[in-house]
Amino acid sequence: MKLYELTVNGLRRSVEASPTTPLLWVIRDSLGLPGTKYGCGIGACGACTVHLDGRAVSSCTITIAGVGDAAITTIEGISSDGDHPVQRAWLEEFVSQCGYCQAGQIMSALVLLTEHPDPTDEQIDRAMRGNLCRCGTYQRIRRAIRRASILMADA
Amino acid sequence: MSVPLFAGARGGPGTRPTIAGQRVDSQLNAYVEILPDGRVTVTAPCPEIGQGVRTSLAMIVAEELGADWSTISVKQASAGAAYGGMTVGGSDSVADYWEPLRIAGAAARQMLVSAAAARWEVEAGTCDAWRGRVVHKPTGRTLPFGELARDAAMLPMPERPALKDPAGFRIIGKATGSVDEADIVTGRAVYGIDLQVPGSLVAVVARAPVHGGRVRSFRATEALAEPGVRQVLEVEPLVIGGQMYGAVRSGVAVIAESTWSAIRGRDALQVEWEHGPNVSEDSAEIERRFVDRSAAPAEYVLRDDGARGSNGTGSSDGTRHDDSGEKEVEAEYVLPILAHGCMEPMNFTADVREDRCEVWGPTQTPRLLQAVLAAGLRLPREAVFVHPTLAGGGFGRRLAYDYGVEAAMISRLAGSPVQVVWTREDDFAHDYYRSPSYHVLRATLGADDTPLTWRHHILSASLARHSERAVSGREAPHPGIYDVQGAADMPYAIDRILVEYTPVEVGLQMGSWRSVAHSFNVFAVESFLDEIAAEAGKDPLALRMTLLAADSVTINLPLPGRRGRPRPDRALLRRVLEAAANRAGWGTPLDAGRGRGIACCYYKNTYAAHIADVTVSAAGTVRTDRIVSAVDCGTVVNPSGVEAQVEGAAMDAAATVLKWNITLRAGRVQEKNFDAYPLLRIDEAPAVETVILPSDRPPSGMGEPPYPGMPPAITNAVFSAAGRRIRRLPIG
Repeated sequence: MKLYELTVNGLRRSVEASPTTPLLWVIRDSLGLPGTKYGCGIGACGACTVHLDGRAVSSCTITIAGVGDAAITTIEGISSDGDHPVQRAWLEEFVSQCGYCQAGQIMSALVLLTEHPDPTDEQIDRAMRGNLCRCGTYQRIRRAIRRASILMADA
Repeated sequence: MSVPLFAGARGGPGTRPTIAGQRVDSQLNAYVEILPDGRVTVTAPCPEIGQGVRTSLAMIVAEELGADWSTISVKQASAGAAYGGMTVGGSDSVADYWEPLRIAGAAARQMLVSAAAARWEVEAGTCDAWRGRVVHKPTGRTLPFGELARDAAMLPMPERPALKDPAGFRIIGKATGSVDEADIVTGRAVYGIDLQVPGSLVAVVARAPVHGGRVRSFRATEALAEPGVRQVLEVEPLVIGGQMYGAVRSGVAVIAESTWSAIRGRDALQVEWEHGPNVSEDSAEIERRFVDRSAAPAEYVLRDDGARGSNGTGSSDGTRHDDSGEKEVEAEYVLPILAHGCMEPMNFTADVREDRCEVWGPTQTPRLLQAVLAAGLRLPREAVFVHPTLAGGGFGRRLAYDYGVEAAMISRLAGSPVQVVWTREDDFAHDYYRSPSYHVLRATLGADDTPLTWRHHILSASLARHSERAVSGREAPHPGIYDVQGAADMPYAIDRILVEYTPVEVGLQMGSWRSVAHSFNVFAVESFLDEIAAEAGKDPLALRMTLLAADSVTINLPLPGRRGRPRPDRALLRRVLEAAANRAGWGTPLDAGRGRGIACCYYKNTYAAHIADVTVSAAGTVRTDRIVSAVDCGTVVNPSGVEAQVEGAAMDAAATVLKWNITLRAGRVQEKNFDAYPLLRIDEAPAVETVILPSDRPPSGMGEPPYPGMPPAITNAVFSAAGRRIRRLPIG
């Protein structure tokens, strides 16, 4: 067990964890942030997507020791009250069915829209193909990304 | 279904609902609570698994209540008699709760109106409720619900309040987003796996890898040495409430302070297994078993429309059917074992004490779980509390309460509240799988190439038999609707229909998977109909329309209850076929390499037809480009929800056709995670268009009905594109 100093959603947090603990479980169990979800543990589903220094990462595939100084952002940290344009777009497009994968979808969509504010279908495919949805909301995710793009351009 | 409207009340209409013995002034009945500031809390009786019931059921109450939808929030009911059956399955929630919830909302509205009328000293008949206010129509005076709720709650609850005229619906029928969307997009939504009950530990269980296997011995030393691990306990196997829902596997639980510690502890655990006879179970051997068994006469007749020209008489005269038609068409279809793959793996949290049991988690059966726990723990039901959380998908997996019972068992043994978490590997290894099946179809065509005789022999691991096994020791039961639905009840008018069934043993735990036997039977029926059309040189749509042209009849099956006497409405099926065909442009020419296929089915009272467009590349790869679905599910509560179910079914269908396959070797499921059992990705998703047919019929379900017809629509499209007939799934 070691003590780690992390920057999480803009705040300094200290946690004690074994070095090989996946970041996902530190986030969920030690930091008390359950918005980041466990889906597969092998980086195949994207439900655990967080940002490390603004890059989308499957948090189940990186250990706490591997985080280093990178700033961690989780779904809880992307807005203070749910009014980020991407979140608003998700609401406007009625995206969710069970909703379990959506935090991960949104985290990936945020990075996509930062890099490509007006993404092509191919750019959406490439950025989002690592986020699986068992309920099949892809069509609405795509629409929400387009809607978010418009909302962000208007802002 | 009778749904009492009082939570915990014993008396008649004059009795106020009580909660924990305290008068609750804001609670008008079991479903409606109104605070002084006007906020309305509607209680959802059924758990949410992504099918949208927390939203649609709340919409029904809000509509009759006359509430302003923006003031509505939804509370989840814990297991209790006041909320009816509470089981989410069979696509029954909206259908079953439609009337009770309208009554609940209308009763509350009437109480609010009476309270206002009393205050204004006017006749109640001159008032109405509208967008959260009671209005005195002659003068236009209004009073907000918040001001009236306390007075209203004191009034006797009307037993038969007047329901709204559907023409006046303002909430029902309007596309509405999930009541949980705001929580979902902020990470605040709480699923079972997220729950942290104070003082609870986390358990991860090593379960017998082969079906029916047992712990022979185990060594806990290494597990206990892992940081954070507190206890290691054996879990005894148990079947409670039937094999199909309540089979808890033999295993060893590692209990720790955190999820990762428990996982590490389980990795370090040393267990020796007694695998039992299913250790030799193997996919190739299972298929051989089906093929061999199909060569012998079928064990049961489920439909035998006897004399020529009479449909649905159901009499079996024991003679062989007439094979002397002009042309014979025959085919065999092979369908695999499927897993559920809910994105949130199984988990449940339990706190079991000497005199009470409290559990939380994602379940489709809160009341059944409550009953089973009460029986198993020998506690009165009033001492068993089941709190359903949001569920990250269900698809029928969470009808089984094995993982809930298992959590309670572990909590009791540990003497502590425990959250049992299943890893993804656990979820794949210990599913309640969709049975594999083998189908033998034979048809003879008459002089005009119309099918005269139809024979379908279905072989699968019978759910009827599965649910009885290990419980009764009675004679093997007759196959039930869960084995033959979609085939024995097929709607087409063919002179002679013979549907037979043979149960085949498969050494794996079976259960309910979205649309149950419809999921494989409709594939066989709709594929074979397409083969008949091709053989007869008929357009597949035209052939179906011909076979559905006659008046609807009741089909008599040797099965109990309403589902033993289905009466598919042929006119409604024709209507959805036509609507899908029109929207999809059926009959318009397609580019080379592209194909279009059609299929339809009914499931209970919902009718669906689908047209799939595919592209088959030169290399033979299949891409599902588009699915157009026309559905008739009676009165629609939330059209966005209806479309969502169609969209989700389309993804399931494309994945079913292309990818999904659970295989066994040495008794063990080979597919351990999403790398080996992949879900459809966004770049593989077909475009989905839904046509909702308007209807005055009461609401019928949408969770399962859109799915069964979609895989054959896709494979029929493959035939259209490439002349390749698909008789085995997945196509890979």
